[in-house]
Parts: sequence; structure tokens; C-alpha cells
Amino acid sequence: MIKNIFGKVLFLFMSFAYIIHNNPIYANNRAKIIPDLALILARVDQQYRFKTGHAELEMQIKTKNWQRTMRLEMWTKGLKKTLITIKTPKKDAGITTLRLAKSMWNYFPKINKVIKVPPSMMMGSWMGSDFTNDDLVKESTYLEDYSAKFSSGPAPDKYYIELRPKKNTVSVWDKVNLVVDKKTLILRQQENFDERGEKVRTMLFSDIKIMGGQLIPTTMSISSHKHQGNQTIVRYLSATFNKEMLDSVFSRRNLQKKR
Amino acid sequence: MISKIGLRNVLRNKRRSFLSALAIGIGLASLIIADGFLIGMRESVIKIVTETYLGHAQIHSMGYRENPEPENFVKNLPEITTKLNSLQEIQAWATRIISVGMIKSPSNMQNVEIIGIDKLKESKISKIKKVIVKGKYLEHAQDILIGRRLAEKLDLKLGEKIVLTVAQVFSGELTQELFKLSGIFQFGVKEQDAGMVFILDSRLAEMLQSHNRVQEVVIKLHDLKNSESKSHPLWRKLEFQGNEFESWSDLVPSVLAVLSMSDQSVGIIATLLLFIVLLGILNTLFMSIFERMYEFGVLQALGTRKLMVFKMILSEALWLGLFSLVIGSVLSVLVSLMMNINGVSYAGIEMGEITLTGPIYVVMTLKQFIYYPLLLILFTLLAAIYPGIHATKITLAEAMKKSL
Amino acid sequence: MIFKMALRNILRQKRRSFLTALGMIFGMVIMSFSISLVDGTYGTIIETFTKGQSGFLQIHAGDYLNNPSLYKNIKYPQKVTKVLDREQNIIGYTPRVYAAGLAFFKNKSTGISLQGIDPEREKLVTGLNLKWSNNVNFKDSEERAVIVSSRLAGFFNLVAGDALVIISQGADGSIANDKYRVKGFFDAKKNGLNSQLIYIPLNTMQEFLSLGDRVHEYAILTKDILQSRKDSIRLAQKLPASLNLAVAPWQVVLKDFYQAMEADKQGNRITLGILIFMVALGILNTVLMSVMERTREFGVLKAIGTRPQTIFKLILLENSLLACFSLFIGMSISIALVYYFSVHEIKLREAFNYGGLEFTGMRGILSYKVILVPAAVVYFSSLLVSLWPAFRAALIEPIKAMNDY
Repeated sequence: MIKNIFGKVLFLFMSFAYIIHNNPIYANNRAKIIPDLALILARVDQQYRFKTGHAELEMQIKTKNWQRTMRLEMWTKGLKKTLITIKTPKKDAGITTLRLAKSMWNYFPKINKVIKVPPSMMMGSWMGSDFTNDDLVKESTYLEDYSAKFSSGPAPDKYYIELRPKKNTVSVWDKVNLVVDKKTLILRQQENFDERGEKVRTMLFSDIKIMGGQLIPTTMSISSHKHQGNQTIVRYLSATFNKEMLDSVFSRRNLQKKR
Repeated sequence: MISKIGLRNVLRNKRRSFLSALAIGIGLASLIIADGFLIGMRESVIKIVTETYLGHAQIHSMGYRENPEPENFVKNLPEITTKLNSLQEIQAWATRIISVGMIKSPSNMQNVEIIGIDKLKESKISKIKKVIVKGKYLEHAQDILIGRRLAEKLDLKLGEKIVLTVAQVFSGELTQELFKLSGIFQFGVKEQDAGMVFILDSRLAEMLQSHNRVQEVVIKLHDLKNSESKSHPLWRKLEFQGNEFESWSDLVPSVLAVLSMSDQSVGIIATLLLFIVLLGILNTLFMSIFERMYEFGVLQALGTRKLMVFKMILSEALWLGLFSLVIGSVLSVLVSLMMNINGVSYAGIEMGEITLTGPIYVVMTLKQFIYYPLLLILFTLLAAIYPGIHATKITLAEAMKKSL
Repeated sequence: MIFKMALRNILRQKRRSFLTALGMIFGMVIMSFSISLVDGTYGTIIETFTKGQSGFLQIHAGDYLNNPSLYKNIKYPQKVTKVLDREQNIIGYTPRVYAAGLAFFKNKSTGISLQGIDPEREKLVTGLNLKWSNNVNFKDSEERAVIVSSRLAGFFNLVAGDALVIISQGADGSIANDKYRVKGFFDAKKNGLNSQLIYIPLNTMQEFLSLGDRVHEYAILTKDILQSRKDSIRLAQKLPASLNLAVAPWQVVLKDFYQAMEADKQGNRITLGILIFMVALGILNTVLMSVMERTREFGVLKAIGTRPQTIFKLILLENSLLACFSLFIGMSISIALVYYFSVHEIKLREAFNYGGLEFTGMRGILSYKVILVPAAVVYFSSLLVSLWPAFRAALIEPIKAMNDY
């Protein structure tokens, strides 16, 4: 028997909680929340990668000093193999980049040379864009290397997720905010913050279409907040995903192929 | 007796004696201070050069300095370290792992020279621990020290994350690691403050996969002189096959050249000053003799020996010299004390390949207060010879003719 | 009349006057010699740096000099050259382009600095090609060849004729990549140049970097290096303001060297100052002596009605005459000495390295400043020093004076 007032209140409270807890409506939602986060992140990590991918892209880069538009052809397999070749402008046509895990090579058709990219060039931005090689070839994944939690946001049809790198994750960011479509689980916006809580970079994903059998945002734009006026916009013109692709595509031999 | 006479003669015309002694004293003081300044400059410069970062000597694999490729490790390192520990001339030594790489912050990135240091040993050799202006020295594995200019460029504050990327020495594969800014240093040397970062050597070795090998050994000796002469046995003991042992003067040769040029200048100044001193004494003595023409005439008439007259003049000169000496010494001590309050600032001025980062102090040595005064007395006596001889030739008849 | 008196007074005490004059002569000659040597040696160094590398003036866009960047370039070079061509003062000018990049050969790569030059103009203005081994030079501004430092040649193991790959970022964002024939080498260390430097013809580099006709720098040689500061201001006014260009004299371009030189010159001035002070004290002593011993004489003079001013002037005149005599001799000696050392340099025991360049000797220079400044300093300081004794002499009271001595 419950002896005192406190005990009685506690008992009542706990019963109430038990009922609520097991109420089907609430139970259902609760079951939805935790596993979905892992699913969402896995989906985000894979957004453009899939098992294999072959796409034609247009990249528009605007900086304080110059601006240019390039057309690229890109092959990807998994998270670590990438081959990109420049199709236009003519001046850079044929310049091809091969990235395999921790190494990168460039091929310059004009001088017919394959060059292993030294670290100084590797960590720089890719082709002067706001993308670093980390973005092109994800070294770390949100699923495994970041702690995630849901946060709140204005739109009811979007998930707002806040990510912080885990202790051993090598990243300059302190926080990454993602905005993901609830229905399609497509990443719509990514904001990178530094340790002072200042927003350094914003990536926007739009123009969601079905391409190559997959639903993807075909336009990606990055704006840098520290270097005012810098912006990079990437548009998928066409793509096929998950088709058979040999590892030999990602070889030095293939790098040098005349295109 | 003669000395009393000399003294009395000097004190006869106090103002004249004072002015002469003052002029000569200033000359002496200038000489002492110039000498002190040069010694100070040499000491300060060498100290700055060696203690800031370079050390007294360094060991590298032969050809490393021409071709600083990371795989050019110091050869036979275990033997060398044993040797270094056993040699008495060596006060301290440290190893450094050196690599180039990329540092990245949220705002920016840059190529840098990465130095992996043994935190204890390094603090005994270079100033890195002392030039930290913000934050702390390396402690934990993820600590990194960067220069103030670099911190500004990367817009980094203490405790913030940075990523370092290097290529492994043998495989060439890239490795990235996370670090936290634990301290900001300022050597006062542009290149270092803008392009060098320090981490624990164990960390860098891990990233480079360089195992137990290093590219540089820095050495501090008890006595700096040992490092300057190539014929010193120390060199032979440390130059193992494949390695090069170089002293700081080999690493920055122009510094020594600039210093030796200054040495030559002081020699020239000393000569000039002494010449002026000579003139001053001559003039004073002659004036003094002229004044007492009559007296000398009388002395001669009384039968005073020439040698005696000569000695009188010398004695007078000696007293003059002594007064100058006192004035000069006091002046030099005062002035050098004044100069040493803040030192003479040469900060930021480049001398040869290095930038001076601190003030230069005047160094007083016993030698200065013995050697130069002795020189002065010697010159004084020499200068007194001509007047002295002249005085001995004064006859009473001449004296009476010349005085009013 | 005073003149005669002054002259006679000086000659009265020949030895004393002689010794005093000797002091003045000595001070003067030392000062001349010292200034000559310092100005001469630094003059040589300045000439080597300016005529051989930086030019007397330089033009850049904006704050390129302090914060260089590929993108801070001179956008309408023709507008600039139009002004430069018109300038009478300018003997020659040469354009330059700078960029950083990576060089690749066989399996090695390293960071390099590229400098694009106009071989003809560079030859006239700085004689750059003289620093290159074996008299190599670029044929013209379009040749697709490079001249590399021997350090780089050693690193890559290059011989003439090898093709060096160079990669950089173009001004339009493109990836600049090309292969150039190694035409020659130069010793960076001996010439005080960056050991990672590679020279390339101007147009070739502009094409490589997609710069069009833009350049980073004009190095200019004018008629008179001493007018550099003034020239830079005047030239800046003549250039179109819209281009936002900065014209810097060599003192600003070579700021580090200039500061070090000024610090050294200052030290020299202090030493000379002390020297002259000592000489002045000696002169003071002498003049005082000569006044004091003639106290009676002055007393008599005043008693018979000579005015104080006259006595004052007399003393000054005495000293002045002596000084003039000393100056005459002193200047003659100085001129001879300085001339000798301007022709024959003093060989240093150890060649010293200044800013990377080797100097083996110190040279004097004969100029108005070298002779006239010491003369003026000695003359005026000796006059200054005789003011007090002259004053005292003028104020002598006749009775007291005649009772004295």
C-alpha cells in the first residue's frame, strides 16, 4: 500500500505515463523517430553517389576575380572512386581528374601528362569552385562520423537535423544543419558552421527531378559567407545510376584516354 | 715628488685641464662604449640567431638542405643520439621531424612547414615555448602551435579546430588529421610567423609513417666558440657517413660577415679617437708649458737637470691622463647604463638572412676598463715626449724674452 | 685693421695654432673619408639592387606591393605605357608578370615562382640576362622556353632542352598547364634571387595565365636616382586616376634594405658627431687659453676705447681665419683621399653578403656633399665654440684685466 501523499502522486503519475506511453498513437510516432534518422542520413550520404553514377554536369563558378561555366562528365562508384573530365570550355577540354581514396591524379591533354596531385593542390578547392575534394568524394559520412539529432524549423514538410562531428572525425566544421524533405528524403539545404557558431557555407539543393531512374535535386548551389560574392552552381544535365561500371574506369590508363 | 709637481701643474689651470680631460675622457668613453656595443651586438645577434630557432649547430642527411625532401632522413640516428649524449661539449639536443603540408580552417587554407618537436627537448633549445603570445605550449596529442600571422590569415582563435594534411613519406598517400589550436606564437620573423606550425613529433611521425626517423637534429653547446671553427674535433665526432654537421654560421653565413665588418670599423674608429687624443694632449701641454715659460727658464738657470724637467712634463701628462681616465670611465658607465635601460632597438631589421627580433645591449667587460685606459695612458705619455723635450730646451734668456 | 690683428695673433703662437688647425683638418678629413666611404659603398649596393633588379621606380595596381595577388594587375597597360613613353625623365621601363605555380618533371614536383619578362626591355633596364649563365637570353616575348634557377635544376636534374611542366591557376579560373623547354639556368644564391624562381617570356606567361595583355609591374629607370621620391609623386599624378595605380620609389620597394641602411648610417653619424665634438672641445680649450693669456692686452685695448663688439669680432675672426686655413688644407687632402678611394676600392678581408649579393670591397664617392658638409660642420662648430671665449673677452673690465697676470 502506498503510504504517503508523495507516493500516491508518484504512482498516479507513473500510471498515467504508462498509459500514454503505450497508447498506439504515440507509440507509433516514437517508433518512427529514432530509426528514421539513421535512414535519413544514409540517404543523404548517398544522395548523388548510389552504387555507380554517370552524369553530365554544368558548373558555374563566380568569384571576386573571375567567372566561368564548365561542362563536366563524371563517373562515380561507391564513395571513393571518382573520375571527372572537363568538356567545355575548349581551353580546358579534356582535363581529367581521377580520385581514388587518398590519392588524386590530373591528366592534361594539351601536354599529354598525368600528374599526381600533391597535398597542397589536393586540399584546395576543386577547379576554383567552392567545392573541396572532401565534398566531391566524401571521406566521412554523416551516418557514421557525426552525431545527429532532430531540431526544429519553419516548414512542416521538412526534417531539420543538426549534426556535430564525432570526437575523432576530421573536419573543420563544428556544426552542420541539414534540411531534408520528409516525403522524398532528399537533402534540400546544408549549412556549415564554424566553432564560433558563424555560418561559413550554405548549400542549396533544388529542381528535383527524376534522372537516370532516381529522384535527385538537379541543381546544387554553394555560397561562401566568408568570401563574399563567391558562389558555385552545379546542374545535372543528364545522369544514369547503378549501371554496371568496371573498376578499370577508375584507372590511370583510363585517365589518359583521349576523349 | 715629481708626481706632486705634476699634479700641482695640472691643477693650476683647472678649467683648461678639465676641458682637456673632458675631451679625452669622451674619447675614451666612446671607445669603451663602441667596443661594448659591438660586443653586445655580436652577442645579441648570435644569441638571437641561435636561440630563437636555429640552435648552435644542426645535423642533416647530406644534401638535405639543398633538397629538403622528407625522405632524406638523418642517417644512423641511434648512433648519433648515443654520441650526443656522451659528448661533454653538448648542453642539449633535440630532434625535429619536418614536412610540408596543408593547414585548413573554416575560412581559409594554406601550405605550411610542419615541425614535429620533442616538447621537452625542444624547449631547451629554441624559443618556441617562450614566444607563445596566446595560449599554451604543446601538451596533448591534438595540440598545434601556429604563428600569429597565420592565425590571422586563417581567422583562428584558441581552441578551434584545424585540419592538417600531409603526404606519407614512402607511399605518398594523403593523411588528414584534426588538431586544436593550443597556442599562438610570434617569433618576430615574418616567414616563421606566417608559414610554420608545430605539433608533437609523435603525431607527425604517425601521420608521415616515418617510424623513428627524423630530418633534423638541433644542438646546443656549452661554449659557442666550439661551433665556429671547423677544425674543432667536435665536427669529426659528429659527421657520420651520409650526414652533415653544420654550425649556425654555415646556416646563415651572411650574419658572420656583417659582424666582422663591424669589428673592422671599430678598429678604425679607435685609431681615429686616439689620434685626436694625441692632438689634445699636445696642445694642452704646450699651452701649459708656454704659460710657465719663465718658470722653466728659472729652473734651468738653477741647474735643474734636463731629465728632471722632462719627467715633470711627463708627470703632468700622466695626471692629465689619469683624470681623463676617471672622467671617461664614469661617462662610459653612465651612458651604457642609460643605453641598457631599453637596449638599442634593432627589432625588425634584417641582417643578412635573419631578422633581428630584440634590442642590443652594451656589454661592459673588464678588458675594456683595463686595455683601453692603458692604451690611453700609453698614448698620453707618448704624446708628452715632444713637449717634454721642448721644455728641456728652454733657457732663461729665451724665457725672459718671450714673457711680457 | 682687425684683419691684420687677427692674423698677427694667430701667428703669435705658431705651434698652438698649428696644433689646433691640425685638429680641425683631421676632423674634416676623417669626416669626408667616412661619409665618402659610406655613401660610396651604399651607393654601389643601391645601384646594384636598383639597376639590376627593382628599377628606380615601380608601378603597381592598388596595394600589390604589400599584398601581391595574381588578380591585382594593371588592367589597361597601353594607357600606362602611353604616359611612360612621353616622359622625358624616363630612360627605360620594363613590364613584369608574377605568379606562383607547381613545376613537374619526371616524378617530382615542387612549388615555384614564375616571373614573366620582356627580354629586350629587361636587358636595357636591368641587364637581367647578364645574370644568366652562358649568355642565354630569350629570343623574344613569345618564346615557349623558361630559364630556371640552378637549385631547381639540381632538384629535378634538368639539362638544357628538357621539357618542364608548369601548372598554375589562370586569371579566368582555368587550369593553366603547359610544357616549356628549359633554355638556361642562373645562380639564384649569387644574385640574391629566389631559389624557386623561373623566368618566362612575358607574352608566353600572359597566354599561360589567360591574362590578356595585363601585367603586374613596371620597373622604371629614370635619369637621376636621387630624384626618385619626387619622380614617383609626379608620375603618379600623370597616370589616369581611374586605374588606381601606385607608383613607388625604390626606397619603398626595397623597404627592408632601406631601413637597415638608414640604421647603419645613423650609427655612423653618431660616431662622427662624437669625433667633431672632441675636436670642438679641443678648439674651445685653445681659444680660451689664447683669450685668457691676453687678458691684460684686452684690458689695455678696452682702456684705450676699443669697443666690446670689436674685441668680440676679433676673436671670432682669429678663429675664422684659422678655420679657413684648415679648411683649405683639409679640403685639398679630402679631395685627394676620396678621389683615390673612389677609384681604388678597399678590399674587404671577407667578402660580405648583403641581401644575397656579394660585395668584395668598399668604395668611396667624390661628391659635393662629401667635401662641403664636413667643411661646413668643422667651420661652424669651431665658430660656435669660440663664441663664449669671444664673449668673455669682450666683457673684460680694463682695470681688473691690467691688474691680472
